[in-house]
Order: sequence, then structure tokens, then C-alpha cells
Amino acid sequence: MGTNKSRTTIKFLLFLIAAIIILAFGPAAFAEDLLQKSARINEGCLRCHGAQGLKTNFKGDTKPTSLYVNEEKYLVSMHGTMPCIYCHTNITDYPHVDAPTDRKVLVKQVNGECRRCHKDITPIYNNGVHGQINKKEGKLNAYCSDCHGIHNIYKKEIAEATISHNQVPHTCAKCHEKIMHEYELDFHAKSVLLGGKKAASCHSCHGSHDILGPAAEASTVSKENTPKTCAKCHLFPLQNFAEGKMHYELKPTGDGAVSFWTLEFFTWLTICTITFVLVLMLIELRRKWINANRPDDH
Amino acid sequence: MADVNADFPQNNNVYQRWNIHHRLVHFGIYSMFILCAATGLPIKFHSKAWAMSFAKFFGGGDGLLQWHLFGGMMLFVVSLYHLGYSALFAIKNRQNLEAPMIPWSKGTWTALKQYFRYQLGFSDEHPKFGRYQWKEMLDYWAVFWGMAIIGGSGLLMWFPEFTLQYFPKWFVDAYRWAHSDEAVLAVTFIFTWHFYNVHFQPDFFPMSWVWWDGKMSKEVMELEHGLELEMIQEKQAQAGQGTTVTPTKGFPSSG
Repeated sequence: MGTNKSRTTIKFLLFLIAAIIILAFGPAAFAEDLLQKSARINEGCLRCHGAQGLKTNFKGDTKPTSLYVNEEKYLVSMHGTMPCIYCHTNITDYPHVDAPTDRKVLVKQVNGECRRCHKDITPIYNNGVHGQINKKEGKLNAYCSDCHGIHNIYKKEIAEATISHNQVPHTCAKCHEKIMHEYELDFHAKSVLLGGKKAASCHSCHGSHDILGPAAEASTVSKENTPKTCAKCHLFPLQNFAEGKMHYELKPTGDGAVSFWTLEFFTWLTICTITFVLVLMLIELRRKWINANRPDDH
Repeated sequence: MADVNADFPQNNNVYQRWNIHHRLVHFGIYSMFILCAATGLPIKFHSKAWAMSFAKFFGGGDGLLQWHLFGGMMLFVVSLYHLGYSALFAIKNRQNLEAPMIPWSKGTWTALKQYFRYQLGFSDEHPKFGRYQWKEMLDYWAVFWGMAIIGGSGLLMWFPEFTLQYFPKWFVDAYRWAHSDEAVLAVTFIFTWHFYNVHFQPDFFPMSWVWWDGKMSKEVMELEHGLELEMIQEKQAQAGQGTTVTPTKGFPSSG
């Protein structure tokens, strides 16, 4: 009897172990299948879209747009394990009958798909100035892809990412070109553009998804909040941090006037000094030449 | 005893021109000047391709600044060292002080007139310079000007929390332009004027070795410091021709 009872216990234990193994590794095996499925779908897409010459003419565009996707970069990007159709939802088969022929429609549709997963950031972004509709152009001020890239989305810690500390100024400059030129005069910019990690990049002061215009009171760069924003790096908030313009133009009048005339003064000081010593050198060398050609002189 | 050369073992052919302090200060100034230029110019011209390779060498934008600050700090240390021993020398010899670096010291003006008359061809009389030529005075006092403009603005930029308590932002911006533009002036000045005077001019090429061993031959002394040579020879004549003056153990000259 005792043996029968222990046999039942052993059977039960074996069943339990098998159940645990199946429950523990079953979903993993299923997930593996999803990855394989994704890879299979993407392989099909990349059979055409992996070719560098693939182009299309969007409606109203004069120049063709490349439809090439760099497979290597995409596979290591944040979305590299996902099938293309996760974002390109209206493409189900070949030929792409439902594919948007208008660039604006395509951009709007794909960027709309971001919200399906990135629910946490959506309300913050909607509140920021980039999430507002630009009435003049009939689109959002900046879509997700304008800053984060398309098939090259990486974490901000990756140097190549469009949102990495050192790349952010270049990314912002795609639209904010004038500000970029003014920012470049600043030491923060020089350090960041030369690969520094400590100095402030655009987002360090202006924020990222929650950017508000400088006129808004709650903005990190409003007159009231600027000292606090600077104090994120600089020991304590000083009212003088908010006095005068951060990004100034090097012009004879306005915020950069003193800098402009300082530059002018030192430029002319350098030109005059160096001209003076160059002329003196020529005079000295001429005298040495005359001396050398004299038979009685050494 | 306030003759600046009294401490040096002079003889008839080779003259000791710079003591170890002179040479140390020159070494400190030029090595740190080169370091500051190599780490500072990439910051000024950050968009150029060479600036990026300099930055990579010094460890990116942050490393560039760290080395630049180190160089600037060492320049202050060297300058204070120089001012310190100069002050000690002046105090020690306050009864009978000679300071040949002062622009109005004896013979400067005469030699300057002689220099221009000679170089422009109005006279064949070679100028007789004292211990320091007007060129050397220019280079020397230019460092004071540079330390005030570049060093002063450098400190203001290093400690923005201090600076912005007293100055508005436009002042700091303007001071930054002064810092880098004065630095460009200094670099071009040194690599044209100073390098011509001590490297490229035919009498010295490839270089005057005073910075290394402090010694200068009699021939070069005649050309470059004729008046000083006469004064030394006069002294030697009193002491007895051809003897080497034993160096005394006093604090060395500041020049």
C-alpha cells in the first residue's frame, strides 16, 4: 500500500514539475515565435525596401523620396524587433493598395501609431508646443519622427541617436536654424558640439516633450523659471541668469552689441600688431641682406 | 650689490644670461601657453574638422576644458612664482636697485633710436642694447597684458556663479570674446614675432639657446646686448682680466 501511495505522490510530483516547466518556458517559446514571425515579415519587406535605389514620387512633390530602409541600422534600433506593419498599419499585402500617396497623410498616420504604445508620454507631448497644430501648415508643429527619427530610433544614451546629448542641437537645428547659429556662439554649445557631456544641450534647459514657448509662464526658460533651470547645473539660482538674452546675435546693435564691438576691437588690434611686426621683420631682413652683400662686412 | 649679473660666473667668451629661475619661468610659461592654445583654439573654432580631432585627443569637450583649466591654473602659478622672486629680489636689493626690464631703465631710449636709424639705413652704427632690448621688454610686458585680459576673463568664466552675482550676462559674453580674441592675438604674435626673433632670424637659426642653458656667446652679446657687455667688461677689468667671478650665494637675480 505504502508503495502505491508513494507512486501516486511521485506521479503527482512529476506532473507538477512538467506543468511548471511548460508554464515557465511555454510563453517564452511563444515569444520566440513572435520574433521569428516579425523577422519573416520584415525579410519580405526588405526584399524590396532594402534596395538603395527604391524611390517614389509623393503627390505634389517635385523630388522623389527614397523608400530605402537601412536594414543594419533598423535591426539594432529600438523598434528593430517589431514587424514593419506595426507602424505601417495600412500596408497588408503587395501591391500596397492602401498605401498613402500623400506625404502629409503618411507622416500623420505613422506618427499617430506611436500613441498606441507610448501612452505615458502622449498627454505631456500634446500639452507642449510641439504637439500643437500649426494652423499655417495644417500639421503638428513637430511630429515624433521629426526629433526621434524614423527607422533609426535609438535610446538617448546611444551616440548616433538623434536625441543623444551631442546630437540634439543638430536635430533641433533642422527647424530652429537661426537659434542654432546664436547658440553656437555660446560656450555650452561649443562643449556639446565637441562631444562634451556636462554642458547644456538644447533639451537641458528647454525640456523635451513638455517644451513650452518662452512666453509661457510655466516654461523652463521663462523670466521667472530661468534661474531655477540654470541652477540644475550652476550651484544656486541667480537673478542675473535671467537678465539679458541667452541666445544673442553678433550685431552692432541689440543684445550682442558689446560682444560685437569687443570682437571688432580685438580683430583690429591683432591686424595692426601683426602688420607692425611683419613690417619690422622685413626691415630687419633687408638690413641684414645689405650687410651680407658688403665685401668689408662679415 | 645690485648688479643683476653679479651672481653669474662670467668669463670672456661665454656669458651666463639666464639663471635657473628665468629658465623655469620661461619653460612654465611656454609649455602651458602651448597647452592652453592647443585646448583653447578648438573651442573657439569648434566647427572646423581639426577642432574635432583635437577634442578627441584631449577627451571630448569636457576633457578639452579640464586641460585648458589646468593650463590656465599653471600659468597663474608660474606668474606668481615670477612675481614672488622678483619681489624678494627687489626687497633684498632695495638700497641700490636696478630693474633693467623697466622700459625707462638706462639706455633703452638711446638704443631704440639707434635701432630704428640702423635698421632703416640712416646710420651704420649698430644699436647698443642694455640687458634687455626693447623687443624683449615688449614680449615681457605683453605677458602681463595677456594675463590680465585672458587670465582675468578666464577666472570670471571659470566661476560663473561668482561672476553673475556682480555682472550682467552681456558683460560675460563680451569678456569671452575678449578672452579668445586676445588669445588668437597672443598665438599669432608669439609664432611670428617671437619665433622670428629667437628662431628664424639668421643670427640665431635654428634657435637661441638661452632658454635652455642660459648662456650667450660674446659675439652674440656684442650684437644683442652691447651696452650690457661693456658694463660687464668694465666690472671684470676692476676685478682682474680673465678671472671668473665666483657666484655668491645670494638670491638670484630677477631680471
